Order: sequence, then C-alpha cells, then structure tokens
Amino acid sequence: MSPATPKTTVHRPAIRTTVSSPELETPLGSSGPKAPGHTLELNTAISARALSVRDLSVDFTTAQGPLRAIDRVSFDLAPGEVLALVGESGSGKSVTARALLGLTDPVTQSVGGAVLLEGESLLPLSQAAWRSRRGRRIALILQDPMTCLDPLQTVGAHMLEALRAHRSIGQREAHDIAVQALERMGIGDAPQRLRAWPHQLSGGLRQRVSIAMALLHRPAVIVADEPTTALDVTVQGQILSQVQALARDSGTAFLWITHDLAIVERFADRVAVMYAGQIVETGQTARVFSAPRHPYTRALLDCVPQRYQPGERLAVISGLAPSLAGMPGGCRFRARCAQAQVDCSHWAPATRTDSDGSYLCLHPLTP
Amino acid sequence: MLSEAAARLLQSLLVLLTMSAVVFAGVYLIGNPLDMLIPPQASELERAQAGHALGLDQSLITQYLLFLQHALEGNLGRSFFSNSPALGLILDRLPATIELALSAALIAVGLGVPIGIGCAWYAQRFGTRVLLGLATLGFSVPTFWVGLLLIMLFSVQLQWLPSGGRDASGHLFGIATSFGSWRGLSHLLLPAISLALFKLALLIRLTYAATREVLQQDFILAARARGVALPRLLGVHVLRNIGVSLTQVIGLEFGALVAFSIVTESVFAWPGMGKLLIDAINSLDRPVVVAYLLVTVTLFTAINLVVDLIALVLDPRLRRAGLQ
Repeated sequence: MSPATPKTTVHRPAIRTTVSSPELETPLGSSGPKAPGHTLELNTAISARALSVRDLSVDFTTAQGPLRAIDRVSFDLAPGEVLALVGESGSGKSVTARALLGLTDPVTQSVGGAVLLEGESLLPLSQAAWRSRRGRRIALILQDPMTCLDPLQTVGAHMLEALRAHRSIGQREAHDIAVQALERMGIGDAPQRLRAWPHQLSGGLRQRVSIAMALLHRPAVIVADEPTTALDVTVQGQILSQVQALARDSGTAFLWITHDLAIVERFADRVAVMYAGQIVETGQTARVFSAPRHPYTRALLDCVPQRYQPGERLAVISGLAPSLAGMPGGCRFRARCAQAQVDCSHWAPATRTDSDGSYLCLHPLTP
Repeated sequence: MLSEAAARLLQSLLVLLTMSAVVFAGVYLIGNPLDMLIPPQASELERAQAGHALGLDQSLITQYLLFLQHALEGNLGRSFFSNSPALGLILDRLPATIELALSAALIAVGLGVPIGIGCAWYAQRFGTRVLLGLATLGFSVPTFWVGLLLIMLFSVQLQWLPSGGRDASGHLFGIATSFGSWRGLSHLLLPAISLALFKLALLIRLTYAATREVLQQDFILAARARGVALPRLLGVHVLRNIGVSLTQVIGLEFGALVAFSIVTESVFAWPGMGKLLIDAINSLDRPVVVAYLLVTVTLFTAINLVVDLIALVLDPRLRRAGLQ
C-alpha cells in the first residue's frame, strides 16, 4: 500500500499504521533504531497534546494505480498553539486538513498513519464515532466565505444545527448560545443576524459566522484552511486578532493553513512548510523566518514582496512543483533547488528533528 | 414576498388570456364550422341562417369577445354530438385523469428522488451504476409497450390485477374515487406504474445529477465538518438545494401526465380526458376540443404558478431578486 522509496529506510524505517490497526503503540513502538537527533517524542505524554499527527499518508486511487498525495506527514499541536502550515497550491495542505477530520473520500482516497486527537486515535474510528468528534473536538474553517454557508438556510438555522449535532438543546437556549457566540466574534446586532440569509451578509461577516460556529463546542483543535485568504486586509487583521485572543482564552489549538507568510510571521507560534506532499521544515516562527534550514523555505521567504525595496526585482522559484504522477526519486525539491548537489537525486532525505524543529534536506542551509 | 406572488398571479392570468385567443383563432378561424354542420346540398339561405344562429356572421372581434364572455361564465359551448356542455364533459373525466396522474407522480417522485440522492451519495458503488443503467433503460422503452407487458404479466399470467377500466365506487373524504376502495386501487395500480416508469427514470437521473453538483459545494463539506449527520445532510441541505430545479421539472412533468397520458389511458381503457379528446378529434367535435385545450392550459398555468411560489418559499435569493 505504501509506495515509500526504500532509500528513506536508510535513515529511518518507514512506520506504517493502517486505518485498521486499533492499537497505536504497536506500530509506533516498533519503529526500531532511530538516527541520532531524530525523535518522535513518543515518551512524552501524548495526551497532553491537542493533536498529534504521525506519518499521515493519503493515497489517491486512480486507474493508473495509487498516487501518494500526502507522504508521511508528522507534527504536533499543543493546546492553545497556532501552527501555520504553509506551501504552494497543490502541496497537499487542504488534503491534510480533510484527512485530519476524516472527510476524505473512502472509495478514492486511502489514509494511513496515525492522528491522535487529545490522545485518542481517530483513524480506526467508525463513521459514527468520527462524526461525533467532528465539530465538537476538532473543527474546520474553510477558505471561501461565499460558499461555505448553505444559501438556503439562515444563519440561525446553521448555528442551531451545529449545536444540535452534538447536544440536545432547546430552541431558546440554542438562540442564547448562538447570540453569545456571534458577539464573541465581534458581530454586532447578533439576534438580527441570526435571522439573516447568507447572501445578505458580507464576506467578512460570513467568515466570522463560520468561525463562531467552529468555536461553538470549544473544540481542542480547529483546522483553518486559508480562512482569511478571500477577505480584504483590514477584515483579515481584525479576524486574526480575535481568533488569536479566543484561542488563548479557550486553549483551542489552531492548524492554520495558508500561503500568506505575512500572516504567519505575525500570528503563528510555529511553522510547518509543506512541499509536494511532505513537510520539509518545522520550527518556531521566529527561527524559521530568521534562519530557514530548507532551501525551499528560504525560497518561499524570498518571494514575500514586503521584504523588498520598491523597484527591486522580486524573486521567483523557478520551475513547477512535481506532479503526483511524476514524483521524482531522491529529494523532491532538487530540480528547483539552488543548493542541489549530485547526491540529492540519489538519496531521499529523511526527517531530522532537533530542538530547533525538523527539516527534510540532505544539505540544510544551517545545520 | 406577497407582492411577488401577486405579480406571478397576474402573469398567469395574462398567459390564460393570450392562450384563449390562440385557441379561439386555432379552432374557430381555421376552416368553417358550417362545412361540417350543414349538409353540402343545403341552400345559401340555409347556410346564412345557420351562420346567423351560431353568431358566425359577426365580426372577428365580436365573436372572440362573445366567446370570452361565455368562457368566463363557464360556458365553452355544447358538444356537436351529445349536445351537452363541453366543459361538463371534460370535468366529468377530469377526476379520473387527475387520479392517474397523481398516482404516477407520487410513485415517480417518492421513489425517484430518494434513489437519485442515494445514487449520488454512493456514486462510486457498483449498485449505483446498475440503477443508473436501469434508469436509462427506463426512458428508452415506450410507455404503451410497458403497459402491455404489465397487462400480460399481472392480468393475464398471474391474474392478480384487472387489465383495465376504473372503479370509483369507493369514497374518500366524501369524494367518489379509486383511492376509496381496494378494488379501485387495484384498477389504478397498473396504469399508474406504467405511466410512472418513464418519469421515475427521468427523476432518478435528474436528482442524481443535481445532487452530485450540490455535494461538491463547500457548504456540504463545512456541514459535515460540523458533525451534521447524513440524514440531515441529505434530507435538509441537499434536498432543499436541489428542490428549486426539481419542483420545476416535477411541475412540468405533472402537467404532461395530466394532459398527455392519452396512450396509457387507451391501453388500460381508463375513462380519462385523453380518451375523450381522441374521440372528440375523430368526430370533429370542436367545442369539446376547445374545452379540453382551455382546461389543459389553465391546469398548466396553475401548476406553473404553484411551482413559482414553491421556488419563492425555498430560495430566499429569488425573493430579493423579485423586489429589485
């Protein structure tokens, strides 16, 4: 099932947890000898984390055989932490988000690895058990506020539905909770808004409604898939600071998927950089921005227009990200990498982890 | 929303007025009714007298206005042959036709919409492909042939159900109808199934396509991410979003069931309007044809009005568009 290149096993044996394996300890515990500096931090209390993702893989079933869209992605989220997941379009960010909530298509997509939500392994769960956690313990905010509300349901109907999905609640009590939730997101005249139809609200208001709904059950984790990309900058800033405050107060952890590095720098505690279905670098935001280790991270940072003087020529990353069907052996970034050396095409790098984070590169910029 | 409903009603009345003119022109101005009513050997004087008696010597406009005035009074003329009011003849047959159309529509909608939604949700399954294939087959076979097959199997071979005719001896809510007795229902079942089959196949394919489109929308993913359970997802979000286009099709198809179920009525000897129309056309009984056309037009207009109102209820965006 897992078309992992055998080369990676030089550094680390591939760990495979399939959806059917009920016991997490067995596959993770059998990970064998690790390369020095590489830790999965298994011994620390995993349940203290809001979310732990281990070797998450998503394969698309196609007529030509399986295509690996997400390749052994691992990261952790502490309660109240904001982790930014950045990368180009098509790097697998959104697929990761869907996989974390169990919203991949069971027929055409197969998910492997382990997702632990507050210590509980999600992938072996039944559909019904998954559903009872979605929206309650782990929530999702989508990118486009224009399309993420049902145009034929009022805001109030949406919120009532979101509440009733996880608790039996009377109309009046639900109304009060909904009003409070909207007010927390800075929406004035909340009772009036509950009667509004989505088309009567601006994009910013709709996204606030979506976020208010995501926060309704005070979930441990909110996965936000580019939630502010479609909004103008002032609304973006307001929403971000509100979300930040709410996260701090409620202890909700955010996985913030974005390609806007300006937001990441201001807003995220840590960063995970994704390229071609793999996480190529993680670390504290300040460290990643000041001293990136992976050439791709460096290249991404060089693309931020704010870092340039007026008139100066902007940098671009030449070439295109590889397609799923034509994934090269060795390092996946080497064709576009200024630092690439001969061995990059022969050896697939393995993830190396230390106190500064992790990276997936044979020749990191700063070791 | 009330003003929009009123506007739709006014539109409907305009359509009816226009159609009455078309029907009048079509049936009264093309060809001379005297040629058919008066023997060819009659004298010019006799012709003129007959024409005067029927009001045919008056101007076009006057004739039309008279026709309109009588129509508003519920008088669409008398059948040339039975000499009874044409409208009465139609209205006598209307319940049988409505009964048949309603049963067929209930079967088609009650089965077609859930099957279509189910097929869309389980789009990748093998069973779905089988069902969709059967649906394609369903609107490839002619209705009369299906009717004959049903009679062969259930009436001739198994002798479970009668092969034709209608039994309205039972009463439901004080109305004599086939729904009032088991005997009535047993007569209704075969023609209703045979009439429903094509519409069922159509609705399965339409619902399937519409649902597939809705399921790809972000708000469906967002609702699932909030933990909304499948029955609510399909029964509320999907159903309402496909509802507007579906009611439009269902409305038109229901009108077609009422107006054009002639073939099925003939096969099952069902005493509906369709059979009356065929008889009237064969005997050139113009007032009956006119009455049939006007009743049909009224029915279609009424159905469209109801469909428009349902759309207004279902989709708030249409209400806003209506106000601007």
